[in-house]
Amino acid sequence: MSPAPDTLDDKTIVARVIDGESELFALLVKRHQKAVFGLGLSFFKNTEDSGDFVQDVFLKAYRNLPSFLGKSKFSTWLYRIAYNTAVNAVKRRREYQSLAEDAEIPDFDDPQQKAEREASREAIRDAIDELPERYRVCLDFYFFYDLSYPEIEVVTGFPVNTIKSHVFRAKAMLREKLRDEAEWELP
Amino acid sequence: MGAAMTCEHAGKSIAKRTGDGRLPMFVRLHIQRCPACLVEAKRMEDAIRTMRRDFLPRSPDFSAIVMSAIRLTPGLETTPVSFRNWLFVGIMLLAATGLSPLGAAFEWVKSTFGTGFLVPLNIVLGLMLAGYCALFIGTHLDEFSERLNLKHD
Repeated sequence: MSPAPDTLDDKTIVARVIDGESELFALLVKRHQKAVFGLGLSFFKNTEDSGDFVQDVFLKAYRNLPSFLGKSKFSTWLYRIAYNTAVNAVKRRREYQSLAEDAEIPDFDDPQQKAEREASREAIRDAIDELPERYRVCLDFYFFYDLSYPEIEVVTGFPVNTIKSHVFRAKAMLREKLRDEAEWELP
Repeated sequence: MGAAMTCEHAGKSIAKRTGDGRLPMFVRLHIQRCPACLVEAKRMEDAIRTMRRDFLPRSPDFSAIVMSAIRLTPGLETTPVSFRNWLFVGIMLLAATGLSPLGAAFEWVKSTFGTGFLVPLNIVLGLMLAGYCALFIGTHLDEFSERLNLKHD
């Protein structure tokens, strides 16, 4: 008995799509559309263009699936397509707007949780403000898209040491901000 | 002072940690003994975890629209040649064209048959280069039309 499609990992789905089960590609769209849409919003700043961007990226990914060799995660490969598509579309990387700028903070029953999220966002926003415009996307990829340093290097083409130093600086600012937040809460 | 320095070092190590990577032994020992650093490490971990979970915007479901577009596409692009391989072949072709007049074989042919063979040789090399360029452009039409703004909606 074969496992339910929902439980398949990305690489297995890719292999089966290449073998002809193209309808399984919908699972990859469902899994990764949120991240691609987020990237689209950062570059295009409106939902309509971001929607077109998502379709464009997934169509490109589908057509080029045979070139996915499985050496990296499917998400890394997909984000590279998305990043290159977006950069080519907007021409200038400086038009990028971080998710930290307008991320919605969900309502939490616990005010401390909400305060910590606000502090996190503020720290990342401050760190991003201090970065050269073209490197801002690195922090988003690290903090919001859960990419490792080598994965960010693959997606953006920036040297891994540059990415590391920017992320480290942002983490130091986050640490300070969270520490301030904790001190503020003390009676 | 010494303890403060250790806390500072521990804090820096926590900030430097990548993904699920383990902290250095001395930092782990320090954290076990220092409640403030333990709280700080946990707070950092929680903050980063929640950013990864909560901060991406909500997205509409594009799967139906993408799949209907896929059904209209001709199919997967099979056996693609990587851009690096294309570039490598192009450079080799250019290098061979440029360097061939410098070789001993070329000199021998020239001294034996005279310079009359240069015309057909250049025609052959020109055809090879033209063929390469035509294949390269033909297999990268999408990229070229996108970069040169030739796509019409």
